[in-house]
Amino acid sequence: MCVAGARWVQKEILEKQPDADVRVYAVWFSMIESDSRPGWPRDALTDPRVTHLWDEERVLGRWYAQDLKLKMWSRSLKTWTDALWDAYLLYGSEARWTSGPQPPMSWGTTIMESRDELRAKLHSLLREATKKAPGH
Amino acid sequence: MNQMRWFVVLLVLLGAGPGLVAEPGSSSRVIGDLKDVPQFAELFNRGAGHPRLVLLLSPT
Repeated sequence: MCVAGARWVQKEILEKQPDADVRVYAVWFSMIESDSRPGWPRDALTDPRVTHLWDEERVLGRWYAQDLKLKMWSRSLKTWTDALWDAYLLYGSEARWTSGPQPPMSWGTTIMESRDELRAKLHSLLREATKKAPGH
Repeated sequence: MNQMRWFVVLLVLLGAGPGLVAEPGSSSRVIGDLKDVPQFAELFNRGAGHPRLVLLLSPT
């Protein structure tokens, strides 16, 4: 499912908006035994606006689960998990991370199930950013 | 010219090395290691001024 979400972001967001001024951080980590760093699907998100990170200890997914006060029921694993995964979090251009990030403008899980909201919110964010740009 | 070539080779090696973070605009096919949350916070703040999308993914 995660890889399907990543491919959707590549195809439906990044390829369709090649000039969109957005930074994407793809944080990969293991959730099942067969997951591994060498198994990272390097062809899923190939856009140069994407920064890929391997999170061996799931520090970011666990941090978000704690911050958002989530206890994640994984339908695919059929168990509770300690990390937010197969998820997106969208931030505006002003957002800063101090003791934590400002609350996301939008977030959702799974990526495929929340893709319509992700697309709509990102479009609205990009429109706002264009309006604020000099010359507009 | 030779110096420039070596510089480019060095950059490619550094970008592909373990423990380093691939920057936006470089090849997205490079993966870096995330060690802790402050490391991510620094990267996140470097992207300030642009909308940012964080994806939490497993390779399956």
